[in-house]
Amino acid sequence: MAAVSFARWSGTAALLGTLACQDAQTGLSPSDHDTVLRFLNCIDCLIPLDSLRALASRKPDATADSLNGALLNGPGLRAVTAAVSAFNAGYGRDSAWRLEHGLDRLLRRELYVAQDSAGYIEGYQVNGAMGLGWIRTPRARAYLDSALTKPLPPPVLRAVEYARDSLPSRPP
Amino acid sequence: MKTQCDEADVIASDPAIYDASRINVYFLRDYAGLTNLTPGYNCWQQGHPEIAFISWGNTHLPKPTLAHELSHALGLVNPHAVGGHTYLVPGFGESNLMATNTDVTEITVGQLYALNFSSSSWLNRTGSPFLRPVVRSCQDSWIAGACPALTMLEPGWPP
Repeated sequence: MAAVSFARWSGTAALLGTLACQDAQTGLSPSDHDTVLRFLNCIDCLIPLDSLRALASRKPDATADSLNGALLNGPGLRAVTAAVSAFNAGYGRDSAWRLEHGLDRLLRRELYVAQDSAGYIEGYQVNGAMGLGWIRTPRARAYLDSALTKPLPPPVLRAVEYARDSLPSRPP
Repeated sequence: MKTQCDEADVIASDPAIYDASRINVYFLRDYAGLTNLTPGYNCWQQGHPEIAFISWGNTHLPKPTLAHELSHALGLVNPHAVGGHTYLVPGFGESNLMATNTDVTEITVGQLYALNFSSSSWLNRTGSPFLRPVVRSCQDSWIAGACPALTMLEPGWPP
């Protein structure tokens, strides 16, 4: 399990570094770009999804291009570095708390961080797929079809398939 | 089975699944039955901030999601236009409680004030046993008003 997590992290980490400046080529304004990022990094995703769909109604191709970049490449190196830093801080905090309360220790630090990092990157890619599924333009569909032929992590491929085939006509 | 905030009124009228004296958090595989729609959701927009959902089947369920949804219940919903979410908002860190989908390393003093003293906080609701000497109607804005600015930050604190 730990080896698998570390392998997942290593695999997804290899995807990084290609996203920088990507949206400079897609025709999205900085504000539009933030709208996409808010969706890709959402916790309560329905408000950001509304904004994403509104953006897609104005700029369908540029929105699809941006989401496809997220799906294929994941977050940029800077975002992952910040996330890893947060996971390391969380590990220190949670370890100290568990020790203080007599609970079992966490996984080793590198495995804990690797597992959370892989989840973060894959979650971002999954949101890219879901965004494409919800905006439903021919270009978005074509991106989802194409993604199914790519060597993406299994949870991401499952999300691509779901986004392409199983979403209702509109979000709740 | 109730799986989304549009059903919050129905949930709140069913004592078998709802306790009016508590914050009610429902853990289900997928919010609204849709895979990867959202890791979590609080029903404050439906008038029920005391109801929240956590989607345990979501591909990425960050560790702080429950704390994040509870913070909505405790009044972190301003500005309403963005539901109190601080991601990409100047003055807040990337790992703020209301920004992050990784792990939390920051909460501002302004946010802590609102959690404790906002009239929107569950602590200060009608009938709350947690009587407070100060309850404020906090402003629908990041900047200072009846309550301190949500961006108010004391470096190094909380430790």
